[in-house]
Amino acid sequence: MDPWHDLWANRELIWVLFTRDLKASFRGSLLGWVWLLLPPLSTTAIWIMLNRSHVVSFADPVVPYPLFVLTGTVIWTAFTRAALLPLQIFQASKPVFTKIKVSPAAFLAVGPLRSFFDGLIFLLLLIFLFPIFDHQPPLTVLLLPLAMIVAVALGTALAWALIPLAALYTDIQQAMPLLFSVFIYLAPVVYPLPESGWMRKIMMLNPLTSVIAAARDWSFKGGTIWWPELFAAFLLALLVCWLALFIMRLIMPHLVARMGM
Amino acid sequence: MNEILINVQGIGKKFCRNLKKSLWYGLCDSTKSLFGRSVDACSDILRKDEFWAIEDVSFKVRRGECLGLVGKNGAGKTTILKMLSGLILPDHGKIEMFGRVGGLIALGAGFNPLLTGRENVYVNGAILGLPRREINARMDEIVAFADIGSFMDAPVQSYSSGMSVRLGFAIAVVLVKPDILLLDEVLAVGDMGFMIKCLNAVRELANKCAVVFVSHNMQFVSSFCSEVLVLNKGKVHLHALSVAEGVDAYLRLFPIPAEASGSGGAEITKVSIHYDGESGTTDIAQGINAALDFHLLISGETMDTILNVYIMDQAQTPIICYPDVPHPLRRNANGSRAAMLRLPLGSLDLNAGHYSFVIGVAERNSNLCLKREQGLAPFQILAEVMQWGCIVRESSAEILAN
Repeated sequence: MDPWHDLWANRELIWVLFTRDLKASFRGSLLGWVWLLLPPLSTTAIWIMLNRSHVVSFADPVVPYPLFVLTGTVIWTAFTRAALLPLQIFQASKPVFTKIKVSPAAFLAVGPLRSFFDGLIFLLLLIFLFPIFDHQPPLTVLLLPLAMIVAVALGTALAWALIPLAALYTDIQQAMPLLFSVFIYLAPVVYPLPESGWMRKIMMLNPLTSVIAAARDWSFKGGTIWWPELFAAFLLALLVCWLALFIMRLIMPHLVARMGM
Repeated sequence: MNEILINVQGIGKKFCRNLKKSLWYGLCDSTKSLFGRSVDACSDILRKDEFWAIEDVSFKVRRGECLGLVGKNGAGKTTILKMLSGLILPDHGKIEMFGRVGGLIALGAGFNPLLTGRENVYVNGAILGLPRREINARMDEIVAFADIGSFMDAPVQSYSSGMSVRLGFAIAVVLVKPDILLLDEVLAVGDMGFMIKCLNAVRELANKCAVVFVSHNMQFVSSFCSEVLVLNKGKVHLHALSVAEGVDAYLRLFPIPAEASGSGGAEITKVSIHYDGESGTTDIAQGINAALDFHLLISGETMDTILNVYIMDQAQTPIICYPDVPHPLRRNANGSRAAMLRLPLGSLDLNAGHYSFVIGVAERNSNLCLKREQGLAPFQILAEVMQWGCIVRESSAEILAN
């Protein structure tokens, strides 16, 4: 069966699992939604401080630096969430996988849903922050969810491709946060894309670069020149996701056999 | 003859004792099956640290039949169930399943402790593959079956372990309508009242399905199953078409250890069961009268001794006690006293199963144990069915009034 069809057939299960995790995460916490906003806000605060103290220099007459960092972080956070969540979900669902014949794809699909949902909340916060920093965003700001979708798709593709390995070895889950702490500097999250040089070349290879650049264009300029890259990144992500699910279904019995009773 | 729903032919499954190697083999197998190379091709060769967890097991189950899978811990029962449910693939042989497979295996899978019981019904139901409207339609039935009152709307983490099992069982038994039913040791859940409810529900379900039933409880096995497959170390020890024979073979897997203790002032030898003019009988039909022969020798000065004889079941629980058996002895030339004794046991109307004797000799005044021997003259009560109860007695009722 086609992996997309598998997901569609399991849409009800995906929804139930998504709402289960959402409800549970808010019921078990005192601050609830605040936890969604704190990590991106803290990252932003650090970079604002670094900029104020001239440790890093950034001067753009049009865009206030906090907003510049926030637009980058909103995309980056969605990407990393999407890349980490499926691994956590898979780990947490092992007891189900080893006992009941279910579609693992349905469980994994909760990852992108949840990261998109969290991302949207962060986007809403961003919209409220624009006027605080005296910025009147163009109408294209409404396209930001589109950038969010591509970022989530890229993160999901990365996670799903790694699941078979992560199902057997815990190394993947341990390595991911470490990789991201380095990887963040290979994307224009906290500083702009350099005009030239080797760093620009490396960043251009990163599919996330186009997503962040487009998000900034939509927030500050209006139109964007990044459509082709954005489109290519999205197609690439979809292709990888499809392949990953296809592989998953083939090898799932082998994974279950090694995951224990 | 009903149609065959489960057809298992010569299946085998390898497992690996070493974790690191096991994971590595998993990776290799995955890669192989990705590139279309049949894993079967080289799968009969054991790699380092591997062993056959299941070897050459075959059986068929038709609709309306129930196959009992019994064996010691680690005999491979659960592994077979996992292969039947398609969770893992056999490395050898082939499995054919016809119809919808359902199981009462992982009760309450996917329960989130922070959600209420009612919310978790939807989660668990969805994981079992049921659409929401079907769960809605049967919600009342589930609530009634679980019978946990207002806890239904409390978070599951506030449940006692019995309550969450009740809810899990209620969901599965109400919602799952399979052709092939897999049962793994789930009947002994909850308190006695709930257990009876479960048994009835499963019995009703089982009548329409082909059932594979894993249990260590021989009462369950003999009341549910139509045939028994006894597994030992992953291999078929016996495939019995008569349940009594299967149960017997299972019980024989656990020999009763003979053990002696005490100060040594007494010797008990030549212990055997006497029945119908013959000594040394080990197979006894339910309800017959037999006697126990044994030779008792008391070597010390002790004049006043107390002799107790017990019949123990397989689990070494005393079932019948013959307290303070009078034991006249003759004095030997060397001062010790001895005799060959015959103790009438009365009617052995014990439940089918394996039993043995314990004989103890002690000084009456000090209660000092001279000798206690267990696992003596092991015997077996033969009967068609294993009943519920230690004693099985034939009887009839008479009319007192209309």
